[in-house]
Order: sequence, then C-alpha cells, then structure tokens
Amino acid sequence: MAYPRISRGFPYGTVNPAQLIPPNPWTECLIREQFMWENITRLGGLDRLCCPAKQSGENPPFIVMPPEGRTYKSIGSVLVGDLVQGTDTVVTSFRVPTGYDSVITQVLNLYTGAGFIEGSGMLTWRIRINSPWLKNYGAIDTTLGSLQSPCMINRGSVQLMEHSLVRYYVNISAAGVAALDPTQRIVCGFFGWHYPQ
Amino acid sequence: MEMAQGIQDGFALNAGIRMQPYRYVDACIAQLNVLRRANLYRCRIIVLPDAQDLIIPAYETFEYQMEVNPGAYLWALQYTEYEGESYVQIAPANGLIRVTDACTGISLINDFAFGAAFDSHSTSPANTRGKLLQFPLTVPRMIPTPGQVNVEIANQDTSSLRCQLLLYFAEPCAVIEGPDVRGSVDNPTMSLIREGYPFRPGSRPINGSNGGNC
Repeated sequence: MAYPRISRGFPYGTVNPAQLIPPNPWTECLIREQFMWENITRLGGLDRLCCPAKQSGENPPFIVMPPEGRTYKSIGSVLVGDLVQGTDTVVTSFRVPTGYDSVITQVLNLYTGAGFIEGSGMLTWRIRINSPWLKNYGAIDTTLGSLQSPCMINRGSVQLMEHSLVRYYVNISAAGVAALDPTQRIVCGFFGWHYPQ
Repeated sequence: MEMAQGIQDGFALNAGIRMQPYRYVDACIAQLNVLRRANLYRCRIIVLPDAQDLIIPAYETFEYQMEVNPGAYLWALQYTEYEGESYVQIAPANGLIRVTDACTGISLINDFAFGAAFDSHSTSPANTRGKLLQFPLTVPRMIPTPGQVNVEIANQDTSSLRCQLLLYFAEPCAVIEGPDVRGSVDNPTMSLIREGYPFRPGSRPINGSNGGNC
C-alpha cells in the first residue's frame, strides 16, 4: 500500500486527514478567512488599503525619520562619589511623549576619568524599557561610544511606543569603588527621534 | 448547510469546566466555535523555551521564532515559572512575554505583558477546580503566510529565570510538501487551496449574508 506523503508537523507514518477527508463548511470558512488576509497582504496590507494616498515603497518612520519627526538627545551624568555600591542608579531617562512613537538609534555610556578597566565589572551599565531590560544591553561592562561619536544600536534601532519609560542605569562594584575617582562622572545618553503615530 | 449539531470536544465534555455565561473564559470558548467545528484542524502546542532546562539569565531576553502551518490559529497561552533544579512550579513574578507576527510585525500582545497574566498556578488545589488551565484569547488569531511568530520572554529580575510558555495553535492539516503521492485520489482540501478562492457550490461569498463571521 502506498502511503501519502508526510506533511510538516505530522508524526512520521501518520496519514494527514486533509488527504482523505473533505473539508466541512467550518473548515472552508477558516480557509476563506486565510485567503482574505493573504489577499489583503498581497494588495499592500491594511495600511495601503486604508491609506491609498500613502506612497508605496516609502520607508517606515522607524527606519528613516519622517519630516514631522523630532530628534532628541537624552544625556545625563552622575558623580562616581554619589553611586552606592551594588545598586542600580539611573543616570538618564526619558519618556516617549503623548501622541508619538520613538526610536533609539544610538547610545553612549562612559566614565570620564582614568583607571577604569574595560570589561572588569567595575561598572555595569543597563538599559531598561519600561519593565524589561533591553536585549544585549542588560549588563554592559564596557564603554560604548563617546560624546562625539555615540554607539549604534545593534539592530539599527529600538522601537518605542507612546509613554514608554526608558532608563539608563549604572551599577558600581566594590572594585569600582576602590579604583575609580569619586570626583569623576559617569555619562550616559540616548539618541534618536520621536515621530507622530 | 445542515443544522449544526452540538459540539462534542474537551471543552464540552469536561465536567470540571463549569458554564458561567458571564465569565471571560466561557465567552472565549464561544468564540472558538468555528474552530472547534472545523474538521481539518488539529491542536499543536508549542513549548518555549524549546529546551526545558534553558535558563534565562538575569537582565536578559529569550527570543525565538517559531514556524507553524500558514493559516494556523493561536487560541490560547499558558505561562509557568519553575524553581531551580527541582522544577517545582511557583507563582510567576519576573517573566514578561511579547508575541509578534513575524511577517507583518503586528503584535499579538501589544507590549511586554507580565507572564502572571497567563498563569494557571495556584497554591490551593480548590482554586483550580472549574478553571481552564489555558488562557484563551478573546478571538483566535490567524497566523498568515509564511506562518512565523516571534516570541520574546524577558527576565526583569536580578537572578536567572526558569519558565515555560505554551502556545496553543489550531493548525490546518494542509499538505505542504509536494504533490499527493496517491495521485488519482481526489484531495479536496488541496484543490480548494490551489484554486485560491475557496468557494464550493452553494457556499456564500465573504461579503454575503453570513453574519460577517467568515
């Protein structure tokens, strides 16, 4: 006996019922919905259908800043002497304004003095967006960028929704307290743009 | 269409699920009716992280892109956290979940949501009576072609996290790997799909008088 081909996801040797049983009206209903949405996607998606005046092929506002966008720089600093060992301290933060979405395209974090050993764990920086920590930026133990040339975000940009709270933390270890000059500063910054929703 | 008979499935036959029309879960189950009656969909549960002993380190986010048959419906979620090596279930506190359609970028969960919202854990066995373990969505959500879904589980805590997220799909049993080797055997579902516009004689068009449900 010739067995039907195995379809993806089915245990090996199992007959796929779609090869044997005709679809009932409810299955047809669901398949029809699938095709309706795929037709919408083919026609350019809901954006294209609802806003036909919108130019096709236009870069989305989180890739290229639209003319109505507003750039921002959120830079802050704290004295090393003000940091509490083992405690996350906010260096700079901002909240996405009402009616806007935002992107972060560049960040920076640095120590202004001498004696900081990169990757040693003396200082750990963290970026938090609302509650979760930003992926790959939850425990940064090296300097990122400078005031003249901030560091590009790994994925090109981070999208933020209206009212999101973005915070840049620093945490100093015992080794950092011992080695770093308390009169020097920790500087952190976010760069990007807000755009209307 | 013949008169629809009552649905006989796990929701209907489970005496532990008490029908309370004013309750969220019962309203959601009612929204699943078309899916429950469809004959060529099967349940598929995807477990994340895909390795059960995978630990999400402090301050980190687990990211995963899963693949389901295009046209699959996500109908429920369930989230649990575990303690240490013993895998004893605990009340979730630190996991955050975000689910996004990978193709369109449209979020199924708009932003990171606390895993506790999709938790079935209870310290009192009495509290679990009559409860549905899954957290059903208000309306099942279709995953269009190419059937990819991005899931992020973020650990907001300062210590590592062990957790498990279950995503319940109803997946179409469409054959997607080449032609039917049975050759001469008619394959109605595939011919329906190949036609691209799956009407059958007597069925109504999308904008017809079918109540707008399909």
